[in-house]
Amino acid sequence: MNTYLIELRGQVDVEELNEIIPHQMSPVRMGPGSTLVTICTDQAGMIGLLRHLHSLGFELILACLQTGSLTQLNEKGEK
Amino acid sequence: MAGLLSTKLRRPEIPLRRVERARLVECLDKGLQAGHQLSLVSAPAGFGKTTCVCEWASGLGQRAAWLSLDPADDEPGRFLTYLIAALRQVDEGLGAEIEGVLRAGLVPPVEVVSTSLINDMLDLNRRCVLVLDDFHLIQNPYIVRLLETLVTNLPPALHLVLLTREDPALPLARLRANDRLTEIRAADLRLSREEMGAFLNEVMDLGLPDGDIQALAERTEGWVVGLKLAALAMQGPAAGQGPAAVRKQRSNFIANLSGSHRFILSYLTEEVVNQQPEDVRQFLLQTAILERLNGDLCDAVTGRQDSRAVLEQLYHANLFLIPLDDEQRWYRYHHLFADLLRSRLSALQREKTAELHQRASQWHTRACAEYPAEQAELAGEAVRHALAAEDYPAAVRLIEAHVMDMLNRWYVKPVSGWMRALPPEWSARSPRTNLAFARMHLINGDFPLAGPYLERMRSMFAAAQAGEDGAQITPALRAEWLALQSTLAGAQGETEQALMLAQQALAEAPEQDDHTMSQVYMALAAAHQSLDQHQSAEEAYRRLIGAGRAAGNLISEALGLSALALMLIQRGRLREGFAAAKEGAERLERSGVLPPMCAGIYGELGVVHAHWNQLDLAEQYLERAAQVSALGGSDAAVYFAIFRSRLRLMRGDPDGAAREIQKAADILRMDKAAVVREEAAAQQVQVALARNDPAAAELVLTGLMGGGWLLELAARERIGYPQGVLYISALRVLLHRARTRSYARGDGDGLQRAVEQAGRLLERLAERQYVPLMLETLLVRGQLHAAKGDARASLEDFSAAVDLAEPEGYISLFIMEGQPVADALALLLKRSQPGSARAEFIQSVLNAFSAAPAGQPEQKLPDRLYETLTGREVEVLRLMAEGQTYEEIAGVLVVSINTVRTHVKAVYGKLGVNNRTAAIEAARRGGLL
Repeated sequence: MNTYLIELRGQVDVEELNEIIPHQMSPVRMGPGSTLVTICTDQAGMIGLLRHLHSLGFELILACLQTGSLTQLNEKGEK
Repeated sequence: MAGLLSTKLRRPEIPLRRVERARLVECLDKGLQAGHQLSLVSAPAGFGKTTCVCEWASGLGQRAAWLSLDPADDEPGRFLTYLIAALRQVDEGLGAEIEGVLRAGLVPPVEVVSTSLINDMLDLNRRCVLVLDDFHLIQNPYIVRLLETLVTNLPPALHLVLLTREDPALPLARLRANDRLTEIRAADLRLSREEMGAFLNEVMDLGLPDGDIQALAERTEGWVVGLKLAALAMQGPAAGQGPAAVRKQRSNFIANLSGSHRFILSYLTEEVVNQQPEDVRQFLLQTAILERLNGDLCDAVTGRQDSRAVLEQLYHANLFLIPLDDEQRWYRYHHLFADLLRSRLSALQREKTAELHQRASQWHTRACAEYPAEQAELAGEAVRHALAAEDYPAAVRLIEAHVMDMLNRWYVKPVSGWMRALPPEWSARSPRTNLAFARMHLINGDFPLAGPYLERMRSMFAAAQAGEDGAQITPALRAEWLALQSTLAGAQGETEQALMLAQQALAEAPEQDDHTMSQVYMALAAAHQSLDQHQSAEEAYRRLIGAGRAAGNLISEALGLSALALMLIQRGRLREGFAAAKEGAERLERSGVLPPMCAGIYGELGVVHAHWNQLDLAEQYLERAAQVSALGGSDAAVYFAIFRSRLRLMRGDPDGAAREIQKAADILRMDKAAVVREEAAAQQVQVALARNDPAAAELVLTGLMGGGWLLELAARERIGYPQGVLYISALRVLLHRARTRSYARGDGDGLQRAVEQAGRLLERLAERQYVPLMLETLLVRGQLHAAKGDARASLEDFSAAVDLAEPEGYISLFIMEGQPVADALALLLKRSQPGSARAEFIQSVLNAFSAAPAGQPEQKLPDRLYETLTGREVEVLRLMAEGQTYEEIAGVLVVSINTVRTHVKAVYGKLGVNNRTAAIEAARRGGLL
């Protein structure tokens, strides 16, 4: 299992989304323009989740493997 | 169900040589015993998902059902057909109702299917398992929503197992959090060091030292198919080499193995294939184009005569051949192995590939005749290979010959794909395919989608007429096209055009072609009826029934019987209408086909029984009609609410009647296009007057007809049934005013105007032979005369009503009018000849008056303990009660539409309902709104 970072455009109600998606997302940061979350899953889980988010109409800004501490991320989600 | 590929419903064989996955079997067992609803096995290809679950399921025996999915199953009708067939493996009773609708060519809404299946599963008396293999091929939103509903509400008796290469769009996080999910993922499926050692040395007998096993473990990372291929590659011939040399060779082989999984797979497959004798190599490459293989088919493709023996040999050599049946008649290759073989074939023998596909297409075409039960699947393969061979004439011939059967078996996606794969000049030579798609869209009510297919056919006809080389146009084809054009025109309100087209179709159709004639008469009857040409419509319906029966087209026959019955009933020929509807119902019940569009047959039986005052039977048929209609997702809820309201009123329950008609009103507030608006309004008026609330009655009429709702009928005005019921409602309100002396001062001649209005209405209704409405009008006018003090005219009207009602046995219409009519009938009885049919009829009506309940106590609502709704859920419910759509509610609450749907589902669940109207009513009763 890996921990991935996913950033979606807009403000996303993560709690409500977790009710209907395959894996729990943990919110990291919600700004006016985007919402950053982490998710712990494997490749099959990641592919299924991305496809589902796409079908729900979410716009994906970022999807990557999380390496390092989250506190090292700047506002743009970069190290 | 006939026409299904039985191999899809059979659990695959466990490979002869495999690693036993005891820990994974134990994990699945634990989940089953713990009562988990779902087991998910999710990992990329080649991780051994199917083998692992097969091993587990083999221990469950008869309790486990299996369905292997393929891309064509990503179509709701086909998926449901196979799903029910799979469920039938564990219990014959599962899915019978849904199967009936599917056989009628319709797919019920998700809620209907899930409710029906879940209710069926509640009767299971043992725990059963359903395995869906290759679930990643399913992306259709309908199917995903169905699975979501099933997974969320599965009764304990059924455990679902999904095998997939990616996680499905199901609420797995919630199931996981609630400990209702068993998961086996890629990390779990990777072979452990010990499992690898056991496989390599005990199963494959390679005798590898620990160091080599460890190295192989690192290279393959426990990936099952990689390890299996490596083992096969190392098992290859080592001619003239001693054991030490063989061991060294194997060690070197492992040391040199590197790269990504894909690379390793490709490399090892080459190694394994290259080790085979040349003729076997050729066999593997040539047969790689086949989705399913058997000896005969492989002989046809390869030109050999010993393919059956070769297949057995390959199977025993563990060369990724999977048997699909018990007799080992059919096989398939492992998907990854087949993919690589096809790539290799394409690289090495591109020119020969077309020829191989052509041979495969020819074999499948011949097999259609030999195996009729699998004709659709075989024809599908024949087309696929013909297209791959670019043999477009063959492809078009096959599509034309099988398209109707295929669409009836839900091959919509594959057939659409074939049409797109055909070059335009070839798809233009397939009129029957275009016709089939047009009909499919019309049946489903998707009128805009049907148009382009019909237009394309117009071009084909024009080309044929111009002598251009094109499709074969037959008179039957033209007639069917014209009939469909007529149906489309009728649906778009172009009634004159619809009749003209239907008449043209009749002129073209070959008389001996019952199938075509049934299509034509369906269009003709509908066109005549829309123009109120009732005699012609009746004749056309009778011919439709005959042609449908002769063609074995039960749905045409049933639709004809239903439409004929309704026409006859509306025109006062109750007994004939009843006989037609009864015949239709019996035909449907005997056939096991349950077309929701024929729900009207049960409704008509209910109407007749209601007229005969047989209220229990009326209620029984009404509920059956509602049930069958709901299976097709039909929006007939308004109609059923009106009918239930009438029955409540007939039973002397005005409050119950009010509740039912309120449901209709709630729906009508949101559905502006409802066709029974006038009937709903008329019933609202009846109920309001029965509850002595004339203001409410007048408000209903004002809302529908405007301020001047006592409209004067113009001398030549032609009225339809809906207008008729509204005019009668207006007369009822005037009668109520007269009885309560609530005419405005100075409006002394209002009663006279009402009587005159009733007279004009009677004439109009008589022109159209609307006998039930004529009866009502006579009874209302008779009471108006009595209110005016004209007893003689009053009795004349009641006498005329008796004359009209007696031949067909109308009773309840008299009872609905109450005591004044009963008194008049008693007087008429005295003046009737004793023993005459008239006297007997009047007596039977009076007996029914005596038996009618004076006023039943309001039905007690079932005690319901409502789970507490959250604040957000109450808010959503309130907005629903205001008539807002999901999108509007999402906008108000600033959430997504899916969030709204989630809340709505929770509300329904807590209130114990399954639709908006019931939820609002339940909330009001419970004081929540």
